[in-house]
Amino acid sequence: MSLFSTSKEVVLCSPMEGLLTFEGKPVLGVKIERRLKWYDGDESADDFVITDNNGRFNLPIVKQELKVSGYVQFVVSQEIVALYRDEEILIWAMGKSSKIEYGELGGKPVDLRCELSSDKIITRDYNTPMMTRCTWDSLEPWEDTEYPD
Amino acid sequence: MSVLSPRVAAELADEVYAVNRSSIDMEIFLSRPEFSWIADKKHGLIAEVGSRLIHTNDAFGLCAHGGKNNKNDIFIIFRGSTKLKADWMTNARLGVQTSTSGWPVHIGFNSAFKSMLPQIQEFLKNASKTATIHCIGHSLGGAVASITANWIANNKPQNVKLYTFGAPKPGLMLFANSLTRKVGKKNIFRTYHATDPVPMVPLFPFMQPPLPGFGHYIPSSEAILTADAHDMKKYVKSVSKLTWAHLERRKPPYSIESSVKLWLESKAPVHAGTPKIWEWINSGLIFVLTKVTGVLVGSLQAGLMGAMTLADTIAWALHKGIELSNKSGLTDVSKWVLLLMNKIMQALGMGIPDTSIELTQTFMRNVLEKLIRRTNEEANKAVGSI
Repeated sequence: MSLFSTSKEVVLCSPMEGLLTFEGKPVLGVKIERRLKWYDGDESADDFVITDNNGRFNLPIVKQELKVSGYVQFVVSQEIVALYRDEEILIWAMGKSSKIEYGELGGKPVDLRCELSSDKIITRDYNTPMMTRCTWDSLEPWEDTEYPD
Repeated sequence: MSVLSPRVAAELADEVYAVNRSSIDMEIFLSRPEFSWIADKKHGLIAEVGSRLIHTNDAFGLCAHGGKNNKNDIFIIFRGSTKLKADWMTNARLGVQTSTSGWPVHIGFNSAFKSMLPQIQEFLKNASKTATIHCIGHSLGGAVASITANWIANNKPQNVKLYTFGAPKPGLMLFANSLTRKVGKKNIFRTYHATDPVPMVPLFPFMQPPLPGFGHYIPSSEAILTADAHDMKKYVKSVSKLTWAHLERRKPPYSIESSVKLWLESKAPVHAGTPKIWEWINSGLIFVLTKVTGVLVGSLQAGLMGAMTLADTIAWALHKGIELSNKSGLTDVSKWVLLLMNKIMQALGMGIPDTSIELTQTFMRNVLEKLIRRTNEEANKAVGSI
């Protein structure tokens, strides 16, 4: 094993399935762009989905086999924006340093809803400080295999 | 003069990793209670007036004034590397240069500090003279925070406090001494997991501040050095419920001269790969170089500031010590050097103890080169396996 190039599958962004609304009403055909950056911006991956006829969207998991040389603290910058009425509205921003699925919040969000007209919420109630315009009912139980108690 | 709790210092060192160049990252960071001004929605904007990113090709950090509950606090927070090409410890040369305060520091850490200094100076220009400046960082960021704290203590009227997590040794013994004297031992919170290999590098004559002192220490039941032990998130978890008094380290056995002598003389096999072995070797080197050979630390420094490698410098010093003792016939320097070489060779898997080794300078340099490469590899292995 080379000491300088260990590699591991890293979840850069967990799946996000939810409902996009404006003033409480589902918005259809809206582009949702996901922008991921890591290694201090040296690498990036962007993708997008369009909300369906019910205002629902489904961003798939993004994972990669990554190599890292010494002394690197891994962090992936996640930004998700909705392009609505010629405006870019940020609905999600965080720096995910967990490498596992659902490490963002510490569980899978149940009934995720993102409201474009809401004020942005900055919170430290979950695994990582974040900004979001989304809410969820609960998190499905999740085993923290990275930093177990 | 407020002292940050271990939890707050660790969270700041961790959260700075999530700050990139977008304003939302900074806004999230500054929403912490230490920076908040008023409880309305505009506080982000107000707080941003009192903060700035310090960003160069080499390094990344941020400066911020405290909020209403931390009015007299200033924060300078550095992060370790997040770039794939980070290679600040892979170079066997490990050169040294004189810091702005005149003390010998690691070239890589010092150039990261110097690249950010103009921005730090600009930020501190109008700072209150009675403020407390908290310098914080993890890994490489901790080494840069140490050099910054030393600069502030030498050049600025404010109080300074230094908090590092899993930081490598920022400079040579003389730098560690100067930092401890200027900043004050009670203001240095160097925190490290027992199984984090990064704080163990580079080898002596690089030394950790506070000196004298043993820093703040998180014991571990694990038998090996691990990647997890260097992770900043792990540090947050380890310290979050503790106080600095809990973490203050008592004198470890390998810092006591008689124990080091016993260790060198013991016939017990050396178990390579256990975290403590590198500390024992490091202490063995300190003992043999400074106590047995009587080599002046200044001459080690001179070697490192010139063209010599760390291995060259130590081998030269050991050889010089043997030569001098052969002439004077006073102490049996070669006995101790031989014991040390045998321990190092066992730790490296280079064979069983051998009392007939001829201690030439070339031979010792080769062993030391292997040792330096191996300790750096241990550090790289731990932090490189994400």
